[in-house]
Amino acid sequence: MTVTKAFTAMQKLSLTRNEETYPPLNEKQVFLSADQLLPAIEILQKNNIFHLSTITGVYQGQQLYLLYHFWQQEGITLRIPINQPANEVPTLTHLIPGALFYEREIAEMFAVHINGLDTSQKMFLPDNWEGGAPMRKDTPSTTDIEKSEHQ
Amino acid sequence: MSRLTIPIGPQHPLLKEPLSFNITLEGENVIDSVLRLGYVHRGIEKLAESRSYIQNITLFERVCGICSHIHTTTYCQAVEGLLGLEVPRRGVYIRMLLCELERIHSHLLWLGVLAKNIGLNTVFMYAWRDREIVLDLMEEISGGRVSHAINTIGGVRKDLSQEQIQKLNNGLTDLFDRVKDLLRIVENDRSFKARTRGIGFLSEEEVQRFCVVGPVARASGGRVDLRKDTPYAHYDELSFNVVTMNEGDVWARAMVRIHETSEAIRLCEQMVEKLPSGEIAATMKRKVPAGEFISRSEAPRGEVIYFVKSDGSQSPARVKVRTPTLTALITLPKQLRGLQMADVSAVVAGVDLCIACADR
Amino acid sequence: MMKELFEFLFSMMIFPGFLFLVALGMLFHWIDRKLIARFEGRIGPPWYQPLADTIKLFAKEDILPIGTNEAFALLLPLTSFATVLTAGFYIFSAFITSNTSFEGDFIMIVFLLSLPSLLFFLGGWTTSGIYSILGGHRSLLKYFSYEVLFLVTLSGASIASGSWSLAGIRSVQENGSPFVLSQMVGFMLAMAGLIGKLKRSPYDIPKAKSEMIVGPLTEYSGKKLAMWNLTDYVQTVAGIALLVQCYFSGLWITYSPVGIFTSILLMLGLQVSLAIISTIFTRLRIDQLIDLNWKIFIPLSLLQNILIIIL
Repeated sequence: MTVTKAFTAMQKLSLTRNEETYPPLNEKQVFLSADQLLPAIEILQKNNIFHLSTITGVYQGQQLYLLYHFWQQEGITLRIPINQPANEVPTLTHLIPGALFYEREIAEMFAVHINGLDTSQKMFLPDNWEGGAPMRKDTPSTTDIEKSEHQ
Repeated sequence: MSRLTIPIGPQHPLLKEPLSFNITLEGENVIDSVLRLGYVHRGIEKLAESRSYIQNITLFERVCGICSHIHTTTYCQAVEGLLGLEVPRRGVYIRMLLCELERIHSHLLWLGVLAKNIGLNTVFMYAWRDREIVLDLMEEISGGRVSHAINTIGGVRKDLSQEQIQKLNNGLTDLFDRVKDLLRIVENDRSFKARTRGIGFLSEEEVQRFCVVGPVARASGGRVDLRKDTPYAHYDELSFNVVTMNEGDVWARAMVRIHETSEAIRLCEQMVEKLPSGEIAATMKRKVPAGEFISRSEAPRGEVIYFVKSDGSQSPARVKVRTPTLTALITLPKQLRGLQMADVSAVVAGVDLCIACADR
Repeated sequence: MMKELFEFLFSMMIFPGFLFLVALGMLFHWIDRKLIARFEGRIGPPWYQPLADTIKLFAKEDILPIGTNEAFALLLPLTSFATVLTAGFYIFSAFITSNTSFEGDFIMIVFLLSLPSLLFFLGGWTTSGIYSILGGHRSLLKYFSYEVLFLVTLSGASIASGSWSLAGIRSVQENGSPFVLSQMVGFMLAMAGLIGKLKRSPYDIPKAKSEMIVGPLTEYSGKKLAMWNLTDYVQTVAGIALLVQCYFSGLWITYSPVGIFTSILLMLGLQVSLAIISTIFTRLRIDQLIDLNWKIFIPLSLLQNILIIIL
């Protein structure tokens, strides 16, 4: 019920857009731009939705999206496109301290700049990693690098 | 007082898996700790993008050693959601049975590790001896003690015979009495309580702000259990209690986990009794249609979430896994602050780390 | 002349000297491990395990961190082994005859038995690894606490007998009643002190595997480690034998063969109780341990001594 209320509240504040060519998801999802993220979190928290399950980075074609999965009896997802050249989103850690590891993973794996986050130390990758952000489509995978070395 | 930095890990007798945290001590008290993950990062999410859906089941079983079955269950649920496939009831019950047996296994193992860390070797030996019973039961059902390989998209691969069901019943009755004994020790033993009470405290508000899940959250008053709140599989047909405590320290976590073990045994007995007849798997269509699916379940350590995106090809376009240990790790520096050096081992054990899960 | 030399060598090397003490120490260590294993539901090692372990250790490579004072690192285990052997020699020959006992040997024995704890700490300090040093800090704290307890409670026995020699303590009990009856509290506190000295659970913080690896002995290997272990074995039997002599002499323990037999039985009984205590409790934290000692144990033992003096 709280999720429905939050969803309706966001729609009222015209924080959603329609994406027709978008594949279906089994939960409610809200399309936002990067600067609408923090107001949306505040609406969620007003409606007693505090639990952030995780932050996913996913490509649709060549466009990178960040998905913020929240949950309170049912799930609701915030979907934010990451547009070049700005390539950044604000950090959530002052509102949700538990988002720290998820944001660091996104910053490391997808090379997304998260405003206000300290990314000087790597989290999952080794300290001397030279291969770029592994999950980005424009980073060659290690198999590609090996193939090119063999040639 | 001078400050001393002790490295705990990556190799340390306290830790079963490599994790590094440097503890800064002033005298006997911990001031700060710095965490470093990533020693067993295998890039599983990236690997999943170049394997077929069926091959990925084998891949995701290896995310964790102890909770391997729940990972494959959640993954299969996600893919079945994308396919719109309904798993036959018997298959779902066998899946749930293994999930609960795995929960019992994980909690007994954890109790032994906690007891060993605080110096009570006897309870370590007893808990691991009882764990052997669970491992034998799981081997009966699936052929493997820890890695089961029983899930497939659409159901399970092996059926239960009458003889196996009989063995299950005997094993479960035996286990219930033994877990009652262990509960008596955790609840009453004075030296156990002297080493575990009052340390590693997390308040209910902190649990919410750090988005902690699982027994750690339930020990601080959070009443979240995905088997009750969003019943996946057929958990809504079975009756069990969600165990919560309010103390929020390591002792409360021990109590929650032991009570959960007895609840899991009761659940297994109900499942064996109510086991429906019929098929164990539905046939999978060749092609997974384009779409995205989020699947959640309750692993022994808390909420596991899988996000699977398909673009209509042979391999998934993206699989995202978030395991519960990651949420507990965020709270570890906070829990350790102000403790004595001797309590570090109890707190680290109380959080029930599964670093392979966290690193993927 | 030759006969005396032969007797001297026999008593030093065989009985009750080196060979006897080491063999008895290994036997008691095996009993301890086997009992604890059975209590925990395991099978436990075969009877020759401590011997096999020692032989294996002597064959292993002996390496030390760079910068360790090698002479010192060899001297420390050697000295602690020598001290417990000396103490054990006097204790066990006092079982057989009162000839070797002299006025003040009681204090000498207690002093010798307390040296290994100090040398244990110095051993960690010499090899200066981080775990060794931290384990050493803890052992020093413990050393002060439990050695004091041991000394204070045992001196109750010597105060009551008015003598500073083992033979004197025994003869007073033989003519009167065993001290365990009149100083029951003292006896139990002395057991607690012994557990602390021997670094057994629940007081085994310096050796807490899950916290400090092996504590001060982390960097030792080969024959040095073997000597530390042998010190432990012999210290156990010497401590138990001392307790038996100080508290159970008299009714049950005499210089006759029957008396010797009962003394061995009593020693076994004490070893069994030590094993049971190790199994039941968790390892105490350092502050809990020290609190327990200074707030409860020492005051009780002082009270006991005062009562002895008055009554």
